[in-house]
Amino acid sequence: MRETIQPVAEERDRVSRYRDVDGLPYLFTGLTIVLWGISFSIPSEILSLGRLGQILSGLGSFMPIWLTFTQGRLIEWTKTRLTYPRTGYVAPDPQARDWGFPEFLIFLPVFLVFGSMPFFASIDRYFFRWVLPVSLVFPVVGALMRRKALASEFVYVLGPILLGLICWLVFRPQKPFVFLFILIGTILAFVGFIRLFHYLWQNPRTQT
Amino acid sequence: MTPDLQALANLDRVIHEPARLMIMTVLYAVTESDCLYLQRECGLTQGNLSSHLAKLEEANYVTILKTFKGKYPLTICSLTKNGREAFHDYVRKMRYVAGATSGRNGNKR
Repeated sequence: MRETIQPVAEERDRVSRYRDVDGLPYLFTGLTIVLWGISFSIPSEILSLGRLGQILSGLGSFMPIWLTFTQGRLIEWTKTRLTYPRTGYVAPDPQARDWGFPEFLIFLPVFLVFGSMPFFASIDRYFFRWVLPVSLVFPVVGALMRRKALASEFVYVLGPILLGLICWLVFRPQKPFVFLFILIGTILAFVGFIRLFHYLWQNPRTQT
Repeated sequence: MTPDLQALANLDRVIHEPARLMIMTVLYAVTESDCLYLQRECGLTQGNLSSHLAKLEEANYVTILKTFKGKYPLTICSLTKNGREAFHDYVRKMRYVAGATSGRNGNKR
């Protein structure tokens, strides 16, 4: 019954697009990625301080981790103040809200590969050569498993990575992965900001 | 009366009205939504929506809950189990009729 009624299927598509219409998911995801990038750049400078440096880098990593796990609540809090009074509230699809195995695969590079980057980079000097191909495999497999949202996953995951790669090839910075992270985050946050601005412009708050 | 026509006569009139059918379709697709979202999706005025929602609530197809999200008031609507089954049944009957008119139910004319 779920996919067979055309208007219902179309409405479900509209609802899934409606969750992104204000750009807030892009904005918060982008800011989180920027913070991850900043936290990765911290260890190389302060690890020379010994144990104190390790403690400081651990504390520096706490902020992006906290933001990653509370992002949903922060987005909802902001939507309550900006989106729902303007264009109405609709509950997210419970199937989309639950994190399943495909979503886990999509974000595995962020949580595992990039999260452990400072450690692996210190023990394997060729780490940067294999981390990128590995990190690309997981999102692709995850997106393929989650066929329905294939297009949006590619936009979210592969699009910024490819854009970042192109910029990396052009600029060739000293710290490529930190640069890549900050660049990807900035692009996503910028897209989110533009969408939010456009949304607020199109939907002025009505007095009730 | 043929069984095909009988199916038409047995259609649920509460759902069959176009505005209410739109509301039921939207609510069937989402877990819950507020009146503003329904108003925009269905293109109804506030008064029109209220009267149709009242009829659907009377038929026990919809629940309406006045609540707060933070300090912002929300009137949240969702389909009841009855409403979901009624919509399911309505779609099944309509499909049967549509299938009969295109000859897919195997009726010889």
